[in-house]
Amino acid sequence: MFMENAVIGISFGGKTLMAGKVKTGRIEKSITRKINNKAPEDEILAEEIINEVKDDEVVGIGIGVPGLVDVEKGIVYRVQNIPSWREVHIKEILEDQLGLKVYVNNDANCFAIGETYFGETAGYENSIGLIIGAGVGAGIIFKGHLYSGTNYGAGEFGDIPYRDETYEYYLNNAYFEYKYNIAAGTFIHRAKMKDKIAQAIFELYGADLGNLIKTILFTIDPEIVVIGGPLLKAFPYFEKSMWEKVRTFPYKQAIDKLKIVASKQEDIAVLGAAALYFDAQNHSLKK
Amino acid sequence: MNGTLIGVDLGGTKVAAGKINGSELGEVIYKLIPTNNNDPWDIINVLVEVIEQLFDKFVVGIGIGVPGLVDRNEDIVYEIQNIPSWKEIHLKSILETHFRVPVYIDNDANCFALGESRFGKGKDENDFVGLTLGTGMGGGIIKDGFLLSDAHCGSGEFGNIPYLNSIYEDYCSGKFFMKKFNMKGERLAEAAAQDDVVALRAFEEFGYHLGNAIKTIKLAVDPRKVIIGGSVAQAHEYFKISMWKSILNFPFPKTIRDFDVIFSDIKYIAILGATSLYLDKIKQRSVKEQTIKSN
Repeated sequence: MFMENAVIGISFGGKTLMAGKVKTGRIEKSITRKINNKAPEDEILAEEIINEVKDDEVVGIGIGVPGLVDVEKGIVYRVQNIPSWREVHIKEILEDQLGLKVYVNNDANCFAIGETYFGETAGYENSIGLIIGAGVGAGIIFKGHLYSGTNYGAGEFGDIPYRDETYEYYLNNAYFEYKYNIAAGTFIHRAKMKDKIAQAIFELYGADLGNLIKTILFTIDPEIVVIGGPLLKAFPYFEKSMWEKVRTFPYKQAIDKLKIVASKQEDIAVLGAAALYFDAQNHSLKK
Repeated sequence: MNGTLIGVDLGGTKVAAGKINGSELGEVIYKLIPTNNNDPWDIINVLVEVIEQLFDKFVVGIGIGVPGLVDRNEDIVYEIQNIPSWKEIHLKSILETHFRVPVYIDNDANCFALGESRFGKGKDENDFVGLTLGTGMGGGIIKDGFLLSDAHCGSGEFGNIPYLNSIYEDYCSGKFFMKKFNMKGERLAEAAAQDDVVALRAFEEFGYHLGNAIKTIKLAVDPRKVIIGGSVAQAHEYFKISMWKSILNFPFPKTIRDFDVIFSDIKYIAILGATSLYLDKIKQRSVKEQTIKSN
């Protein structure tokens, strides 16, 4: 429903900002900008970036940020790499400027709803979109809609205590550098070259990720988990050990039916941000 | 609501059932489950017998809580702890054919949560997690006043989440006291009441681990409240302080302000919760009808 409408999706990466006009599941035009993270608050997401992809067809805007968001009020509290953003009332500001409905959410929730509208979890009622990379977070979909918890804090699986730390500690990009002094990307490259040590390291990674997925199964019980984020590139090297760990889940029937898949949409961050608009429209219609 | 409901709690060793009219629970009856049951019908027959004892023409529905997984779409009971003979039992259709009233089945910990939302401390709360701490640890998630519609009734199984060198259940249920102190939680609670230092320290440690479990629940599900029941919950005065200390060490402190953990000890909550399955379905249907009308 409403999918024929054109919506602008905006995604904040670590260092770049991408805005795209999304229509019928495709990005019709897009623009990518470097974020000047030292710029003052109001210069970072300027109206002009949106105007470059906006036209008369556009009915709304969705924004995904890697940070803490008050979804209801559309306030962004904290964003990775942008210190000047402390409490930005982004929804209010843009709605006033543009006269369009604006929805804001964190990147993991955008990813999850994007996959439901435009990707791997389409057609599933209950799914999880799990992002591994700079941070570790997930979006939860129930009955085809974003589930956000009472403070919009649900799906923060990365912060769950694990071993002597948290899941995020062991599963994020920086862990490789911290532990081995070698960047995650280098390990991925080496694993591709059949380097035994790199492959062994991703095997360990898969076991930890498998424990996280088990935790998700015990808490949320989804039909399918879709994985995205920068570390997805290592999927072939951790997939096996991940499944080995997941299969230790005590309910065999649930595991036989469970699907764990890799995201295939390259532009899922922008598509997912746009999907916020569709989710809000369809949800309020149901209510 | 008009009519009587039967609630059944299928445990690993016995079946307990009761009849409820309004909010009045009648006599509760028990029947032991035959050990060495190789034939799945051994236990189905016990269930049928127990329900038959309570059944009369005023009964309009039956709810059953089972310690395992249920397929929500097909109403098939998959895996039940301690009852290995049950594999893919079409329990709903078997019982509906026999009794000719609607039968609803769900995981027992989900029934606990639903029971708290209908008859207990969750009456005025739309978003909470119900947690039972007894010989094991289980939970159920209530969202917007309804049980979460997950894939296999398996959500909220927080006890099985990996924790330290094992799982939360080993640290947050009676198992913790058995494993570490070789004593039942009830015995330790008695000792704690006498200011026994070892017992008090045991509960303090227990509270620390339980606090971590609650943090995990908050991070995963983000409920407004956690309502804790089960036998261990009754000793809460001995672990409450260390539990909160552990929870307050939360990465998003702002969201702790309107979060609460409360303790409940409603009798026969498992049976009450099972009858709530029926009420939950009725409520869902009426919400759906209203939505259709308003569109």
